[in-house]
Amino acid sequence: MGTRRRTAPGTLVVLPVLVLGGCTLSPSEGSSLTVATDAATSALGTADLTVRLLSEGRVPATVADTALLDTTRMLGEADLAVATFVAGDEHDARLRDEVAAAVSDASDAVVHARSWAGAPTRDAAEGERVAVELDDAAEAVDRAAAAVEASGGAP
Amino acid sequence: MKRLLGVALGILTAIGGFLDIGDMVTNAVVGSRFGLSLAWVVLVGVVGICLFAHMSGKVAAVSGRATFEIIRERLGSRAAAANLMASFAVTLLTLTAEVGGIALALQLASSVEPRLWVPVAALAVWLVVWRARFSSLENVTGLLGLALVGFAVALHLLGPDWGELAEQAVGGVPAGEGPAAYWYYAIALFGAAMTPYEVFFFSSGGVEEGWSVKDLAQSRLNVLVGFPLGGVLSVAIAGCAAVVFLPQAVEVSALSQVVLPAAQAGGTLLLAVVLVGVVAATFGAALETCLSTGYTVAQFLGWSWGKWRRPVRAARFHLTMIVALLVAVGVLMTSVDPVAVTEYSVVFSAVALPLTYLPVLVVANDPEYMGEHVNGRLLNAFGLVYLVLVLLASLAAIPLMIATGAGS
Repeated sequence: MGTRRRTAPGTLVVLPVLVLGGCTLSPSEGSSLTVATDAATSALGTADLTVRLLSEGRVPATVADTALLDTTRMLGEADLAVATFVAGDEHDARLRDEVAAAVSDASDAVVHARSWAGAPTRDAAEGERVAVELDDAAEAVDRAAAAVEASGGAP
Repeated sequence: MKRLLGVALGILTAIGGFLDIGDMVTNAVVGSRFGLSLAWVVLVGVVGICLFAHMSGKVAAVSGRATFEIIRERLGSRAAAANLMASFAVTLLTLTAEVGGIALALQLASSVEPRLWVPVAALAVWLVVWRARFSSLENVTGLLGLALVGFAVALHLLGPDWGELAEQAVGGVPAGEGPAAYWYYAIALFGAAMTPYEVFFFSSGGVEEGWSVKDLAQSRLNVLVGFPLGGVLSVAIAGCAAVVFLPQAVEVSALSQVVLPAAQAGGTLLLAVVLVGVVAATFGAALETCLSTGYTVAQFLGWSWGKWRRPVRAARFHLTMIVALLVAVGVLMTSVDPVAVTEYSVVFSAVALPLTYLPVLVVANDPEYMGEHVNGRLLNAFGLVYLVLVLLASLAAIPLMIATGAGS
C-alpha cells in the first residue's frame, strides 16, 4: 500500500517529463544552423538524383514528382530551423543570413525542378538548366555549411 | 509433393511477410547515416524474432491457444490488463504507420496526395479482413512481398565496393555520429525486427490454421529459414541507402528516397518490382496489425474471435478492428507524417517488447501448458540472453530518444 502511494506521484512526475522532453527535442524543430544546412544538403542531393534519373528515363514522373515534393518538405524544415535561430551577435546574424539565402536558393531550384518534372513535355535543355541550378544551390549550401562549421558550429 | 509445396509456400510467405514499413524506413534511414555499421543489429533482431516466433508458435500448436488467452490465465487479469494496454497501443501505432505506408506507396505510383489514399487503403484492409480467408490474405501478400528481393538485386547492380561495406559493418560508430544516436538507431532497428504484433499474429494464426504438434516442424522451418532471408532483404535496403546516399550526406526521411536506389540500379522495371513489394509488404503488415488489434482485445476479454468464424459469430472481434482502423485513419488525416509515426512505432515496439516476450518465455517453460514440449536448455539459454537484451533495449529507448532528440 505504501509502495503504491510512493510510486503514483513519482510516475505522475516522471511520465510528463519524459513525454514533454521528447516533444521539445523533436528533430524537425531544431533551431541550429547545422540542422538547416544538413536538411538542405539532403534535399538537394535527393532532388539532383531524381532529376538525373528522370532525364535518363529511369523513374516515372509520378515517383519523381513525389520525391521532389518530399524535398520541398525537407527544405521547409531547413527554413524553420533558420527562422527560429536566435543570433547572439553580429557574426551569428551574418551566418544566419548566409544560410537563409542558401536555403532560399535551394527552394527556388527545387520548385523549378518540380515544375519541369511535372510538365507534359519535358524539354532536355530546360532539364540541363534545372540540373545546373541544383548544382549551384548545392554549392551555396556547402559554402554556408563550411562557414557554420568554421565558426565552431552555431548554437 | 504437396507437403513440399506447402513448406516452400510457408518459407516464401515468411520471407515476403518479414518486412514492413518500419523495417524499410528504419533500415534506409540507418543505411544513409551509419552505412552498414548497424547491420549486426539486424542479425541480433532476426535471431530474436526467430526465437520469439518459434516459442509462441510452439505454445499455440501444443496448447491450441493464442498468446493473450494464456497471458491472462497465467499472469492474472490485472497484470494482463497492463500488458494489453501497452501491447494494444503499440500495435495501433504500428497499424497507423502501415496504413500510412500503403498511402505513401500508392502516392509514388500515382502522385496523388497520400491523405486521399488513406481512407481507400483502410477500406481495402477492412474488406480483406472481412471477406478473405486467412490463408489467402497471408499467402498472397507474403508472395507479392517477395518482390522486395528487388532491393537485393539493386544492391548487386549498383556495384558497390564490397570491401568498404564489410569495413562499415565491423567499424563501430562512424565518424561524425555520436554514440547516443548510434545506440538509439540500434534500438529502433531491434524494435523494427522484433515487433510484438508479429507474435500475436503468428500465434493466433497458428490457432486459426489449427496447428497441432505435428505441424511444429513446418512452423520451425518457416521461421528459421524465412525470417533470416527476410533479414537479408533488410540489410539490402540499408546497403542500397549506404551506397547511394551516404557518400552524398543525404539523410533518408521519406519513402520516395527509399526506392530511388532501385531506379538508379535497374531503371523503371526494377523500380516497379520494388513498388509492388512495398505496397504488398505494407498492405500485408496492415492486415496483420489490424487482425492483431482484434486478437489481443478479444483474447483478453474472452470474446469469440478468429477468421474461421463468420463475422456475425465474432462481432466484437470485428468491431474492435473497425475501430482500430478508424483511429488509424483519424490520426493520419491530421497530416501527421507517416514516416515519423513509423519511426516512433519501432522505438515504442522495443519499449513494450518485454511485456509480451516474458509471458511467452514463462509459458514455453510451463509443463502444465506444454507437457513434454517445454523449452530445452539451449532454447532457454538463448531465451534468457534475449530477455536481458529486450529489457536493456526497453529501458534505454526513451532516455536515448530524449537525449538524441529522436535520433536527430
